[in-house]
Amino acid sequence: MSQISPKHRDVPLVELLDRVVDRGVVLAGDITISVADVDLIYLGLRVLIRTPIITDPPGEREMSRKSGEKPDDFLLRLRDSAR
Amino acid sequence: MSEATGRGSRIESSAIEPQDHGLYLYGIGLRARHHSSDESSKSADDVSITEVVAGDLIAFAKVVRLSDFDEEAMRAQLQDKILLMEAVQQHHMVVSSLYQRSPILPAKFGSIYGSEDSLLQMLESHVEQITKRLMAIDECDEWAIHIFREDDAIVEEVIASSPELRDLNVELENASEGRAYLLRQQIQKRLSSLIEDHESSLARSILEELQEWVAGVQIEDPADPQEDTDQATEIARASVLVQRGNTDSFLSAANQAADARAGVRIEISGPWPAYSFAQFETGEWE
Repeated sequence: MSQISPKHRDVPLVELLDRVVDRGVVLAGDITISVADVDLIYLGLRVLIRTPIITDPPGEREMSRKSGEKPDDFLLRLRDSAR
Repeated sequence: MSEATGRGSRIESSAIEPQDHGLYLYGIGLRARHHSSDESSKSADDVSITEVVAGDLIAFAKVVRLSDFDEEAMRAQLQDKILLMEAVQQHHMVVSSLYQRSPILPAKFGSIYGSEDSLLQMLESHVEQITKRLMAIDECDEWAIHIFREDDAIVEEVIASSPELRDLNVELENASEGRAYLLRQQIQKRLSSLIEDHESSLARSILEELQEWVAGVQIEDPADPQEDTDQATEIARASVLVQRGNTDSFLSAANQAADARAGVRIEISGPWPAYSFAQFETGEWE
């Protein structure tokens, strides 16, 4: 299964931001916006366009194999905590 | 407004006092590839473009009011994220419009020069590096590649391909409480390591299949797993430079690479101007 989405105009905003603000040639000028300001713009806009994901703290997850739990299911849970 | 020959250009804007002039740089191209006689080339995406010529190079810029970029103005602009996002989008649309006409090295967002002379000076002192980069991206587009792996599929594959993990799991079933604790730690560590190896090998094999159609690759860090929301994990991300004549072959190869692997999804976006290939390589910058 693949998803190919060629031809832009309606481009993903994160992709746009990564390229426009974080890349491109830099020839330092006398009044070039400072690197720190560009970083602030980048981070600020990423926060704006990202949906925050709330996850449980890894340390609070149950790591013991539950009664009756299949070994593979346990491995799946361990995998999730290891990621 | 560009001159027909020689160095430099004249900035004309009745709305801005000359001493407050600055130049916001969009990109740099080869003068020989740019048709300056074409009046439509003086604007891009409704932005009036000033051309600054330095020998064989030509820079595309917009006249800006420097006071709009002083410390106080910048602080205010940083607060208005919507306005900033619009500025980013406009930057991209102008760069894209210019890129479609002739190859340019896109400038990083926010590159502003206090005077035409300062821009000319920077161009003249980096002619060799800029020309080398422009030759490398000629007739090419940038494409973004994201490789995703369905979470369940990868765990099943890793478990199926690891006798060691299966043996540890069997041992865990009969282990004492203390031993079980240690085994769980061991399994967790091993599983994590095997998943990482598997993902890395998978991503490498896919990128190798695309290599034939690609003129340059920049490997990037995939998204934080916590940002993934669809039961799939981004295992690799890259920007590639593709000759326009190879675009169909490249897209077809990407489709085939995904179809040949169960649980793999490849997302591609483009064509982009060569943002990721505009920076000078190590050693090129003085």
